[in-house]
Amino acid sequence: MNDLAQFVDARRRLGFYLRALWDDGRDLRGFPATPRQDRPFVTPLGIHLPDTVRVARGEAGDALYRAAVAHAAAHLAFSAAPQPRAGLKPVQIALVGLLEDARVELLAIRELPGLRRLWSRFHEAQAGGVVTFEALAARLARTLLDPAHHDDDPWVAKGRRLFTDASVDLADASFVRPLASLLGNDIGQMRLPFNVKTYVVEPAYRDDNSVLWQPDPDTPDEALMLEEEVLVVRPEIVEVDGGEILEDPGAPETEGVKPVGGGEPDHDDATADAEAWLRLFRYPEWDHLIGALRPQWCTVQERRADLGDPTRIDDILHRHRDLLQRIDALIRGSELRKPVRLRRQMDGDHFDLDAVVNAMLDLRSGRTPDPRLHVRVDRRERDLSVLVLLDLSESTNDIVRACGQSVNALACEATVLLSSAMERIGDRFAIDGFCSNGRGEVRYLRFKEFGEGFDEVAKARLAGMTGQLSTRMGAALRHATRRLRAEACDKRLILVITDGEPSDIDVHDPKYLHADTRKAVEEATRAGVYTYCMSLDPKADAYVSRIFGARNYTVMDRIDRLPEKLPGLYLRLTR
Amino acid sequence: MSHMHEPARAPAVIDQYRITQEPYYRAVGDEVALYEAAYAARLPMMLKGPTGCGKTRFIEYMAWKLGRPLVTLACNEDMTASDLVGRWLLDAEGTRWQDGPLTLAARYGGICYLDEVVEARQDTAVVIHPLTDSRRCLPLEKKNELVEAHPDFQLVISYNPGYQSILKDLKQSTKQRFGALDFHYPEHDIETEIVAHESGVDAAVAAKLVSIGEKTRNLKGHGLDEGVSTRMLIHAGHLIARGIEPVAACRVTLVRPITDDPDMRDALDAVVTTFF
Ligand SMILES: Nc1ncnc2c1ncn2[C@@H]1O[C@H](COP(=O)(O)OP(=O)(O)O)[C@@H](O)[C@H]1O
Ligand SMILES: [Mg+2]
Repeated sequence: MNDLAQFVDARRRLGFYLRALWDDGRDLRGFPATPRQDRPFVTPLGIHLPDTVRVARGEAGDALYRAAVAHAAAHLAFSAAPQPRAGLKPVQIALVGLLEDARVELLAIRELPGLRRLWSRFHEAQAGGVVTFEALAARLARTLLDPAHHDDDPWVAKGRRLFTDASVDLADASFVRPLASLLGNDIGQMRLPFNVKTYVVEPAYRDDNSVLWQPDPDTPDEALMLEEEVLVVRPEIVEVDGGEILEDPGAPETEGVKPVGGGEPDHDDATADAEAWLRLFRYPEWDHLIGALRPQWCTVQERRADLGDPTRIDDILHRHRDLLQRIDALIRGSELRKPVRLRRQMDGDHFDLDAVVNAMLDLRSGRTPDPRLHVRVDRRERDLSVLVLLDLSESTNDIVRACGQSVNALACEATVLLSSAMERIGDRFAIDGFCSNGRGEVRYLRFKEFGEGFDEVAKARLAGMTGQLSTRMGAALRHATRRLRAEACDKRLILVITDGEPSDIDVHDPKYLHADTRKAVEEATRAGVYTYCMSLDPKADAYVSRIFGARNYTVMDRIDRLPEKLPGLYLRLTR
Repeated sequence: MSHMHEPARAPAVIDQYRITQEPYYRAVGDEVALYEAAYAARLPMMLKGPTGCGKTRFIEYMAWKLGRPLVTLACNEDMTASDLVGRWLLDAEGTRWQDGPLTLAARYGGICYLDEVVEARQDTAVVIHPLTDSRRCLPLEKKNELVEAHPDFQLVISYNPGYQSILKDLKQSTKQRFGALDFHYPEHDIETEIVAHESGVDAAVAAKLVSIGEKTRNLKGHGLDEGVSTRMLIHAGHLIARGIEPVAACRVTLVRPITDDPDMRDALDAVVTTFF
């Protein structure tokens, strides 16, 4: 009897497994398996695994997936860059794959001995039976992996002997091709047919070995057909809105930040919602190539966000009422909120009269008094202002398959839940967002002000949130820092929620905006503002720790769980 | 700075803090020499590193090597300044002052080790300031006394930079008073040696435990707040040395304590069976 195991159930566990054993954060992706295409494969997008696999009843389906992930990881760790197939016959290509599979598995087993057990259980090829190429290949594969297995076929025995002799240094792959050619010639002489169309790699956990070869110009690139995780929704024309430059007459000029008089930005800014703009600011930007700040380089256009339908936000609150209750319990449990009067303390603000009387009585009668005579008011000082800074760039319109919602909608949902938690605790907070269209137009939207409650207006603004344009994060961070510095409080935190790395249309060197954002983070730190980044980009590890610092970020492994995770993260961050 | 008066003669109360037997400490770099120099200069020191990586053991060893008493206090958020400096107690004769650990070390010339000082509330942590600059003194306001630090006194704090609360980070003004030594989990062979020595398992088993520990550390920040510490590996070794089957021992001492997340436990169990 067979059962079906589902990839979606195992995905998160497998991600941890891959990360632990190989320190590899590569994406794991499911693809719809068909009888003709059910072997895993590896592309630059990640490791692709069939969305369902058959497993013997009672077996954990995970074992096959785990074996597949470990095998693919062994290729990624030990196989060379893709080679041209030039001059190799199909049977030799198959055999190169088989020998290379054995080589990388044996290398992996040296470091991770338990993998032999994990893989061996899927090798079931037995000696005897009909002699076909497929059967012999499966038997050779088993023999190479499992030294205790005995197979008397002369071709299999020869294969093992030559492999063992040639692979004194397993790390050197140069023996693989000649040995594959030799064994392939033997197959020809034995007149065993080889059918490229029907051949599949055995056992099922092994990938199709396309990772070993440069792409064949004739076959379509499978990776492109398998963008199943995120549906990319991009409008063809990006609307540009803008307006006259209006200065907020009430706004004080701050040192180092000059409201801009004109001449910016460089697109045609006519008409529309000119009065929606509050102010413009210029900020410097760090150029890592010259190692200096380019003064007055970026223009931040600040405005209040457009209004949407506030009932959308109430819907969110309603839908998550169970979660909100749990958050509430968490807040109460952590005593974050109000000052508490602690009785029977060793020290404190004043005496506890009852305790003093008892102590006097004890003293009179020669007993040792209880020394805990004081009352102390514990304030659990929490003088914190938080600015939630949302990335509103175009990519946040992408739909997350797992829940059918856009990244943007999930970020909005998470922000709503977080806001309700911060309200309960009594922390002061603002919600802003940003996107950019080159250095002349870093849009900065204000959804909720520090002084305001999380009321209908704030909700309506959040409900109107949309994604467009690019991610010039450094300028936005500088502006957020400035906003937060104006707050009179003990601790200040910017919580950045983003789905990608800094980028913009007028910058082609990715390191440039990384370096600038890092600089902006350093400036914030020096100004007494903490920054923390919640990244929704599974590939963020490559850059986010360098930008925000090793302890100042989290990468969400499942975007769809952001709403339930964010409030908890916040509580932990500020406990 | 002057020491006009004779430092008080250490009474028996400080002697109980002397370390008479050499603690086992496996040096991992030049930390012993660096610390000796820091002590000679009476520079306050901060031992930085994740929990369970050998900071406490190191300071025990150094106190023994330098022949100084070691007064240790594990800090927590309910601690008040009095828990550090001391307080008045009531007894049958009336009131009596009792020195806190910090005062004791300052008065009689010990090394005072405040473990996980970020755990203490900030207003508590600032009482150490006057001891960490050229004043080298400790005002006991409640007793109306200014304790001038004994020439042998040194203050050492531990600090885990991986700590995930911005509210509990040390103030910049506090950090800047200290010299710092970085501690990490030791590299493979050294950690193996330590685990074998401390738990009694043989080198082969210890090496496997260390490999498991190293793999879990890859998950720090990716589902785990911290990887498995040297201390936890020693716990696993203890159970194995007592005849517990290794996979079960690892489950109890490494996997279960470190996470409640079922997916994470599953992945960690798989890591364990990769080595045992
Ligand atoms: N370098 C080392 N030499 C000897 N023992 C060590 C060393 N590092 C760690 N240990 C062992 O690990 C245990 C935990 O270390 P500990 O000093 O308590 O950690 P920390 O103070 O950093 O939390 C110690 O009890 C000791 O057994
Ligand atoms: Mg393969």
